[in-house]
Amino acid sequence: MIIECKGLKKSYKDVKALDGLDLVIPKGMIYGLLGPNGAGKSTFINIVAGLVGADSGSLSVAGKRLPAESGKVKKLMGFVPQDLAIYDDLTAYENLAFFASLYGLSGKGKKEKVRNALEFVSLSDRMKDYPKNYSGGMKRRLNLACGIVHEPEIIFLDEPTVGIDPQSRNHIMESIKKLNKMGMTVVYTTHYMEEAETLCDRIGIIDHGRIIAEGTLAELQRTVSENELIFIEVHGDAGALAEDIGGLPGVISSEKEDGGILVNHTGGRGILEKIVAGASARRLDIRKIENRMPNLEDVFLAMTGRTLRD
Amino acid sequence: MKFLSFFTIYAKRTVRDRMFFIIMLLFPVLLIWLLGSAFAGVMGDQDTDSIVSARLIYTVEESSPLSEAFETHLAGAENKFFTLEKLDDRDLAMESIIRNNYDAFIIIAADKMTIYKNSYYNFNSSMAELILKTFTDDYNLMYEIASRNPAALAGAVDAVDAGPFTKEVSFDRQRTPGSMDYYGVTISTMFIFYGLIFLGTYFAGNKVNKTADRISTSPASMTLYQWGTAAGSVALISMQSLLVVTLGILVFKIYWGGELGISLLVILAEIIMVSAIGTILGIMLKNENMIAGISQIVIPAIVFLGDGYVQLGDSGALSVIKKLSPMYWINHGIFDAVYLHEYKTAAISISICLGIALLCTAAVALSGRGGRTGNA
Repeated sequence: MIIECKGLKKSYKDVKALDGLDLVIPKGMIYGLLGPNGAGKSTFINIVAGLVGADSGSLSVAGKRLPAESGKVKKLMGFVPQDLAIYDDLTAYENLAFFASLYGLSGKGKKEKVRNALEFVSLSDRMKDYPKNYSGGMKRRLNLACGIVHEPEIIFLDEPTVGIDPQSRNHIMESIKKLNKMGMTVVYTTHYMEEAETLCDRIGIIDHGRIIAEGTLAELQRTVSENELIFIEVHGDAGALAEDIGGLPGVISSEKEDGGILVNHTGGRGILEKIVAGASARRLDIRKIENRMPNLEDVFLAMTGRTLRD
Repeated sequence: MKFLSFFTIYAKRTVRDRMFFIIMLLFPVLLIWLLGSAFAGVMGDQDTDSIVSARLIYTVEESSPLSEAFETHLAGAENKFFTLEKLDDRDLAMESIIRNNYDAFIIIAADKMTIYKNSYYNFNSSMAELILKTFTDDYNLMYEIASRNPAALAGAVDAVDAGPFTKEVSFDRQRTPGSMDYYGVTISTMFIFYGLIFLGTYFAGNKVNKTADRISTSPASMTLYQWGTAAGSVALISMQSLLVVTLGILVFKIYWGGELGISLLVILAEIIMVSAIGTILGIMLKNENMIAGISQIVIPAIVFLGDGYVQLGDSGALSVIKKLSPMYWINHGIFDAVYLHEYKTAAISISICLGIALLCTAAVALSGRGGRTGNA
């Protein structure tokens, strides 16, 4: 395990930002920390980064306890804050060279790593430009590069895609996957469930400073329901077909919804074939069939009674 | 290495800021020229002979070896730097001083001398004090020799007889500050103070744009960050000051005396103080606007009290309050060194500046922000 924390607590006056956070993050994976604004994601990252101290609890990174061994730990970590932490009056190259030097890099080694980072975020051709002349997406990419220029073992990304265009978001998402393939452990906080679903190997759902659910996407989905949902959209009398499906073995419910039929069933083989056969028997054209799994929004809703955007 | 990175990055970013050149280079040169020209003829640009010729009166309360020596070697000597008249009516003499007819009144008793200075012509009365001090030093020396080893006195008296007690070597008053000289010093020292805005806003700006967080998450310590950046500020303001002083000398013929080193030491101490203040403001205050706002109120007040704009009088409450301003000591430290060859004020000003710098450094350490950005 590369990160382990137990009973981590942090309060700001009367507000409990972290309320006994227990978290274990295995090495080498992309770990998503998903939760609404104010859930405690950034506070956790700030504590790991050493920007704020925890009130109580224990925390270790790569087997080293924090904050006692923060000097050793800092060399292993890279941070990409939510805000653009770059100098507008330094060129992209100068920005990276400066932040690289803070990790003890110098000379040829520093130059090489700076160029690698620039290439990684596709800014090599603009390295002599000032970020003030960059687009929002390019600034985000430079922000990412500043966090990885020293090639850390663990990289923390605090909502790195907030407020950027879809193209830049995709670029950053792809970059994160590449970093992970290069061997970096990635800790990624977001309140976008789609990002967590597509990017992360494991996901911890955080709310009111505690982990309320944790696991792979499939594991989390199963915490909501063991059943499966199929949505079928047909041209014709959907009501009659819904009744037919309702009588099939393993089907818990079959109801008309959104111009189609939502079938809740216990799973098992052959259910889809039987539904298609039923529609065919009633001479109904099938327009769409979806296997609907509960998403992280559903998981969060089931756990808290609120949506992620509440 | 990391220290050097902080040093370099501050210098690089600040040099790229056009406002630095406008405020720290263009403004002082312009102001020296404007104020120096505007006050020409008012502040001491008169014929130097009329200024340096101090008008002194004295009275002898009791005849003694002291009064004899005074009258023989001082009153009897011809000197272009002062005129000395005897006036036995003590009340009349005091009134003459009050009415500004003379620069100083010296009362000679059996074994001591008392001087009453006219505060209006500060320079001339200071010169009178210096004349008297030189005389008494020499007199005391003779007295000591006579009492301990009278045989050696003969040689000493020969030496004294070779010239008057007042020695022009310690009294090189060929000039007094003209308006250009005056503002050349006060404007240069004033704009050094504005350097704290650049350093303070740099630290605060790093907090606002979160680069301080990035630095804080790196293995580099915050103390190194603060020291490296402050050192960058010291280097940059030193270069700026040297440029302003050099331009002043070359373009406006500003007189900095024969021992520029002492003035530069005072200036260096001021720069260190300013950088320390800028550091603590940048660390304590939340954003750039607060620092700029506070500085723009406080700096003019400090400069005003430090005789930076005009020379404040030496009487009344202001004469006391102005001594609380470090600028007072800085400016007078330089003026005394340049025009009086008197270095005590310079030493005091250096001590004050370094003392304030030390206090600021201690405050940063005690605040617990020496190791963090403090933006939790």
